Amino acid sequence: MTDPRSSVSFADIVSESLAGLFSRPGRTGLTVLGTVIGLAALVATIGLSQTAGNRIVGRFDELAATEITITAKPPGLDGTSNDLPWDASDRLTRLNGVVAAGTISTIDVGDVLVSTSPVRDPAQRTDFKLSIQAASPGLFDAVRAVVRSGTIPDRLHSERGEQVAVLGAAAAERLGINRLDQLPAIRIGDDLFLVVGVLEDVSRQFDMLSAVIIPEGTAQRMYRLAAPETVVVETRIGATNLISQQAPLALRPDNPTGLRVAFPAEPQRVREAVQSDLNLLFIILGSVALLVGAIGIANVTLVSVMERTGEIGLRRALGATRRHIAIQFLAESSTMGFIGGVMGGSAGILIVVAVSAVQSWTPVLDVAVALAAPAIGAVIGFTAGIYPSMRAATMEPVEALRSAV
Amino acid sequence: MSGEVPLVQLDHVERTFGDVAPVYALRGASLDIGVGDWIAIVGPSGSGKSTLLNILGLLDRPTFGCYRLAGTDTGPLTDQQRAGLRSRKVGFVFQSFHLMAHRSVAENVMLADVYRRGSRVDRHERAIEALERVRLDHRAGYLPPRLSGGERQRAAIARAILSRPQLLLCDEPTGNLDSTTGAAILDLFGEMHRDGLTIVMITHDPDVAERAHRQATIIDGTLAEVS
Ligand SMILES: Nc1ncnc2c1ncn2[C@@H]1O[C@H](COP(=O)(O)OP(=O)(O)OP(=O)(O)O)[C@@H](O)[C@H]1O
Ligand SMILES: [Mg+2]
Repeated sequence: MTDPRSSVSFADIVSESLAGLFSRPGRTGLTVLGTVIGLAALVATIGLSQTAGNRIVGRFDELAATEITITAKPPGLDGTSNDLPWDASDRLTRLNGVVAAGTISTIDVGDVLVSTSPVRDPAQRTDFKLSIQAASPGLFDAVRAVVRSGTIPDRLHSERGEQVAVLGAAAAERLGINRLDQLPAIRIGDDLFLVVGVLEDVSRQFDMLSAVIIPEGTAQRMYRLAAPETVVVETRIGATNLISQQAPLALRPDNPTGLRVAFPAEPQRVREAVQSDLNLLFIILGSVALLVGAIGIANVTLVSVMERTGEIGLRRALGATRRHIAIQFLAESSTMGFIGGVMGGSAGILIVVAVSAVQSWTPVLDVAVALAAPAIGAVIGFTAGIYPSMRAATMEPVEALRSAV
Repeated sequence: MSGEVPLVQLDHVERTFGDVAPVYALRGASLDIGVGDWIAIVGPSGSGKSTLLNILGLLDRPTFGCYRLAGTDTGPLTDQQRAGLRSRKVGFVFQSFHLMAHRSVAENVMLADVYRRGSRVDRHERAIEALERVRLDHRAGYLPPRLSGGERQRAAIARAILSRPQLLLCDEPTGNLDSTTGAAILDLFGEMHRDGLTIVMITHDPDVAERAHRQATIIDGTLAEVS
């Protein structure tokens, strides 16, 4: 004996709900629009915040994850010196995990000004207050200095205390020095220095760009630099923690606690902080749009239920149960949400790609977010359809058939 | 079991509306309709004709009394079971056609198959066959609003017979049609009756009732056979 209950195949549910939607394509399109906009906004904003966040963090990450700076604490009450040793670079480069290390100190030259020599244009102001810094040869690698022209003073310059200088890009511009082929020279106060190189850029210690940098040995001889001020270390990625523990011992085995080691905060945490702020705002905005979209779907489905009262009565007469009627309208509203999700998700991805292309960013979007859009849309459509489909299901077939003319 | 069990057995069926001062739409109606009968039920407006038809079609339950369809007592059946029985055994034809305006004639006919899990493979073929029986296959692709009244009712009849029901229930099937078109529809019922279909037809028009081979009247909820 056949099952006496009435039943519907899944294929028929799908084709009936699609037919219901596509018999009024204009209305369906407009109804879906709210969900499309909402999900497009959500996917685009999450994608863009991920892309932007990735940019911020991407630059930060590899620099931060490889940088340590070490300075001396002020001398103790008992007068023990905490000074960094002159051979700090050599001591550190011996450690496994250190890529480059160098020392840098700011020289106190009082009110002494820097000028070009000879003076080029007497009508213009030619002497400037510029920061004077003393660097060891290894420092330039440790800050990833990019040389625009000329060279960088080496160990011999430093040992012989030669009066040579390297200019940061901004300092060179102020002094009006852009070519080195005529052997330009500068004066620091009355002392003459030959400019041997100009720096284009550095990745750390950015004040070097507006400074005059002289060899450490020269600073020792001419300005009585007592000890290096700061050690800048570039480590291998992930080695900052280890090196920051080993470095004080390597530098001052006799007094490791007199040194202060600094390395930037865990990059992971920075990334999370940046993204959670952005995402919260975007998720709120997108959610508001989605709520509006859900109300739209609920509204139109309810109108559709009322308009199709006669059809509901007919379906009941043809053997549909209350459940079948509810399922049909739920399937219709869910399908609307799903379509909105597919369209909104695609639009969101396009926006991320387009904005990234214009900004020359690398678009970053979690696959899960893109795939979630249709699912979220379907859930929204389903939820929006619950009340209308209940209304449809509770209609009495006799009443439904009678009320339709 | 004998093969002579009537398709429809109504035994003192009552239907009232409201609890406080109940309106009696049917008062103890008893009627047997055999397999292959064509019966017309005539009565004035508000006499209970539609109420009777709704009970016969399992869209409504009697307040009191017993209704057997094809030997099955329908009283204890669940709503789901009644829906299943309805989808297989009963076809409806309404005065106002009840065609879905946005779906083609063939799709309207095929709808009758959805709730009985008819095979999707040959559904369209069977719909065309049903349309051939009502001589409307040339309009299979039309949308209902483009059809004449008579054509619309023929589409509705094709839908009613798609699932090869045993019982065809018609509520004023010619009520919205002019007499010539109505006569053509009645000719169609005649053909299907000759093919063995059991037809219950409600009308207030005595000329239409003449076409059936049994007639009953219903006046103020009281059913009586005319012989
Ligand atoms: N849901 C209901 N609630 C209250 N009374 C009802 C309901 N349905 C029908 N009735 C009443 O039952 C009686 C019979 O109604 P029914 O619809 O069966 O009449 P009918 O013979 O089909 O009339 P018509 O020829 O106008 O269609 C009427 O008095 C009607 O008012
Ligand atoms: Mg009626």
